[in-house]
Amino acid sequence: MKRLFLISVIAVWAALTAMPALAQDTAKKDAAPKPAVGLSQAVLDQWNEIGRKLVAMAEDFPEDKYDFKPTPGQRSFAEQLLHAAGANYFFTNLVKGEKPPAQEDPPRANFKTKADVVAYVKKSMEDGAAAIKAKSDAGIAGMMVDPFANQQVRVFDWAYGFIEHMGEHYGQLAVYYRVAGLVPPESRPKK
Amino acid sequence: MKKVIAGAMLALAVASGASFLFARTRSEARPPTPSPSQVVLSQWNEIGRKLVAMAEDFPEDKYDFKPTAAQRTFAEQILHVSASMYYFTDPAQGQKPRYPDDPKRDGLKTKAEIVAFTKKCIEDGAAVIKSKGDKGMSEWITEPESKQQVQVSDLAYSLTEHSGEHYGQLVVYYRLAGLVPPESRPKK
Repeated sequence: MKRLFLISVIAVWAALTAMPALAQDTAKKDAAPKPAVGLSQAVLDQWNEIGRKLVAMAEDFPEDKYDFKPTPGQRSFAEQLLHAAGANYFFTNLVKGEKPPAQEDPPRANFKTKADVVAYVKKSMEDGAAAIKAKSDAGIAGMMVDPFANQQVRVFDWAYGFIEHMGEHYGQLAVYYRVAGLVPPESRPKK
Repeated sequence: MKKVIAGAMLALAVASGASFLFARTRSEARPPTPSPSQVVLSQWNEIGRKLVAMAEDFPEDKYDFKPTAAQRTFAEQILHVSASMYYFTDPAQGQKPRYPDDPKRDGLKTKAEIVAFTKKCIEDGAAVIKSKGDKGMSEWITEPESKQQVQVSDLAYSLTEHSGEHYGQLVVYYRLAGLVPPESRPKK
């Protein structure tokens, strides 16, 4: 439990420690508390951590299985990635004061190769990270309008909603891996 | 897509009492802005609600289903994600997490016991968020394993994301078991 938990929430601490998750797991109980990160950095770390895990899957999964889906009622592996990455622009665009994407899920037909999908996922993560970085701690705690609810929300709350959304799709893809006879990158022995 | 995003963002609206995300239009009066602790609580409760819905809905005779031998069973997933919530709930109260290891399946044998456990884990976390209040969300606490200073709200959101990962896995478990996840069924 400790190891799995630490891996999943490592983003909170990653920026400061620059330590791998398993090294954190062995931290001495009597170690002095580490300094805190700023609010904007904490959001960025969590954004980048789930982004890193999704990119790792996108890069690792065999291209000839990119259209694999466990059952007909589900998205394919590639469609899951495109959905999670595309949804991020409902965060990124709005935080930048731009319109949300007009397009529904990015069509698989527009991203024919694995390289195309990987590049799109990476760009989505990088664009979101850049939008977070552009905000100061005060800015990330500032207000924006959620256009769906016509609701004032804090920028960081809006970001965390999408981080959780990415987590849901990452979790689905972890099972896709297993059903496809593969081991997800995060579940492999660390080198 | 919008419907999906709306689902993911529902918690943000729930805090202000929005009945349904798309029932509103720009011309309507903007609802009051939820407070910081209300928003964290709403996101905590929203993923909690979806997990409880699955725990209550999944057939008891399939509780030990797993897609492949290397994975947790449905019940073990529920127990893991629920117990992990105390990695927020306990440190937020200055205590060590009470479940350093996943609870044993043989200690929680029936579906009713597991559902009750899950509900309690979510409720205990929600109670801490409520008791901390708005000022408490920006308090600094030391995470006991990493010794890292984190804000209460950031730790809560970390566990919310963790819950999302396991919820996502269970979505696929549903499909592989020949069932439709509760959130994917037509709304009544």
